[in-house]
Amino acid sequence: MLTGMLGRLALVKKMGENCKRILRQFHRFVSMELDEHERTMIERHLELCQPCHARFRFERYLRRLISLRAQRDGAPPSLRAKIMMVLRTDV
Amino acid sequence: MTDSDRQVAERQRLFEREALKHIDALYRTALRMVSDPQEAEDLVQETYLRAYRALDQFQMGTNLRAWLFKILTNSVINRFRRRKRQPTTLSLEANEDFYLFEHLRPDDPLLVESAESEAIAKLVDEEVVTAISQLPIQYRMTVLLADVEGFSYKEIAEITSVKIGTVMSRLARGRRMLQAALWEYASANGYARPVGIGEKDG
Repeated sequence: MLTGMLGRLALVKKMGENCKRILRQFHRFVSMELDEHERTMIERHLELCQPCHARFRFERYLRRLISLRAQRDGAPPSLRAKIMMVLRTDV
Repeated sequence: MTDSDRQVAERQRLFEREALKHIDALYRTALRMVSDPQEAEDLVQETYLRAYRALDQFQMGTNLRAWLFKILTNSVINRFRRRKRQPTTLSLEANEDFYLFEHLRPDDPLLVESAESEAIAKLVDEEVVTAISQLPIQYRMTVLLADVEGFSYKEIAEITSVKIGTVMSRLARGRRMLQAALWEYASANGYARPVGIGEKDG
């Protein structure tokens, strides 16, 4: 029983260290900035670790939401016309 | 018409066709930087004019979009320097990664996703845009280029003329500040019910 508990503790500690390592690379992972090997390591971890997986899905969702909300304004049509005109005459 | 004249004419036609595709992205980025529609229009016009005049410095086939953003970014920085205008800065504590996640986290791990997603989904355009515009200019610029316009870290390093390590640290801090600001809005407007900050997952 004691070895079982120690085994579980060791597993928890190991998972904890994995999580910390994963979290350090987390934003680069969400931004698709990691190489294939690093990405595969994290994907494997996310399959096994519910808390990290929830974190990942939330961050990815938040990133998309910010991007969507911040893209609402387009250039006024008059600006495009003005620039075309300036480019043709000024230069 | 000499060969080089023809080449110039060709490049200019190409520029007009290709460069104007990016006008919406440039305009919204300029608007987030200066928060004034007229000034944003001026910046975008200035960007196109500078790009057009420096067209012979542009290597055809390389990233035109990144090049235009680099010119815009330089113009923005020059304006801030010239006016010595200090952008509004956030006074929020933002030393924590995953700020929103930690602050929204309910006790039941299975409820995590739905509760958090629900709270942030209620953030409207205006709130997100205001939160972004409160970030100090370097952080704002970096976060916009990465998370709104989708540039890679390497491209952002090139656009903002800093090392890639600086891009990464600005992004880390900028995102933390942004999340802290969004949290303020979400909790002030009752979108999120604070549940206290529990222990972190190891």
